[in-house]
Amino acid sequence: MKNEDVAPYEYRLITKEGKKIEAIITPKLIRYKGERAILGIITDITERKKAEQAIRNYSEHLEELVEERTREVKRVQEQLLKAERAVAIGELATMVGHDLRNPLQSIKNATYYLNKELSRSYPSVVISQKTMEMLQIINDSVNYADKIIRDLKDFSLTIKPILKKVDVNVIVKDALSQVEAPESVKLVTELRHLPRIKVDQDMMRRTFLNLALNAIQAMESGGTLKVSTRETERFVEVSFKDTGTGISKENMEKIFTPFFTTKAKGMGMGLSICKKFIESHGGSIRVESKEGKGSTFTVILHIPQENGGENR
Amino acid sequence: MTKNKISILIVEDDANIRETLSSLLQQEGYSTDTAKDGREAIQKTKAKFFNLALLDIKLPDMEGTKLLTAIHEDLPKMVKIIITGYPSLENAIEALNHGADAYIVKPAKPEKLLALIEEKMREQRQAEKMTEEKVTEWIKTRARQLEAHS
Repeated sequence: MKNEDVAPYEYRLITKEGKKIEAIITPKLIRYKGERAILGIITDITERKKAEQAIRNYSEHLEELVEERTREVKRVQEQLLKAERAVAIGELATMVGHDLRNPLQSIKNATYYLNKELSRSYPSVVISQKTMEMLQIINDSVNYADKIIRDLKDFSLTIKPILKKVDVNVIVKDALSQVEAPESVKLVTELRHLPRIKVDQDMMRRTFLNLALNAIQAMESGGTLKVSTRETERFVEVSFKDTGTGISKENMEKIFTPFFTTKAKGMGMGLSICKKFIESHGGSIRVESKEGKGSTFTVILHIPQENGGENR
Repeated sequence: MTKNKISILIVEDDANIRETLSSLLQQEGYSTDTAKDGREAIQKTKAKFFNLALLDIKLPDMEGTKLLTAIHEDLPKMVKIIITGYPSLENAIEALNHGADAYIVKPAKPEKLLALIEEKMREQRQAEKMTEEKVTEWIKTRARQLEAHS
């Protein structure tokens, strides 16, 4: 018989002291005193096993960690891109805004001059309806261009609300008074008593106006716009519920993204500005919508704890 | 004071705004003059009298605040209205601190601008009247004093 090795094998053993150990047994066939014999070398590998397990655990965890970090890096990168985009839009808006303001000022001045000149120089001559219409169109278009510039500026600048304690219902009524709804749209209001809270009146009025106009535009073939306010435990809520076209699932995520629009006219700044206004108050806008049924936009504003009854 | 005696200086680098603003102010009965930059504005305020100046704060040759200070020295009583396409709270505060009387943003409604000019001119007339009355009072009082001492 040859002096050959047998493959070592692992075994769980119990020592004399009763301690469980992991061991590796390496058997060897030998000749001992002229006889065939087996020499078994037992090595305690408990510590090595533990170390191996620790390494295995660690490497598995490491993979998770890497995945998690990768996700985080991606998220930050996306955020950075968004922020960079916002800054780029801001710079562009400021530049374009200023460059457009001058020609707009000239058009406004010239239109004013022509209007006055026409009524002054030719008081006895009837100015054609068409001429007056054309002048009005110039005026309206300038005002619209002006609004675009203002929207871009509102979107790009960091805004700080000028807070004043008010009854939000008053602002809702004020905003709705500026809404010209077509006859096919029924406007219903349900304004419940609200605690006075500190808000920027102009930002709120513009947000409510925007939400109301969006709702009306979503109901081209008529419907009902219900505007309601209520106080919940910690919030003041202002809802605009329409029975219009609703928002598709795929568009739902994008509606607050600047420059996203489904309308033929407009830049798609409205909702992103509303969101910015409300978030600058620490509030939020909730959207519920069902395609073909309608949408509900709810502005949610915190009622500060120290608000308890004090009026100013 | 009739409007045609009220003279307005328009400081603006945009030729179209200069022309249209000038035309509509003349249409309202004001007499106008224009300057295309800060240097020309200073020259004109040194040579002539103006009741009011409409100033673009961003000019090709100098900072608006510098121009404000310079023309304020020549004509301290002249009403200075800033019209700017770069609206910001900082700009507004700085302009007002440098002697501006009002601050409006481009594109401004002509109606609003005209109303503002009229209001400022009314204030100016009132201030002049007050000064005249004070001078007259002072002369009267002084005359009495001299009589009493003689």
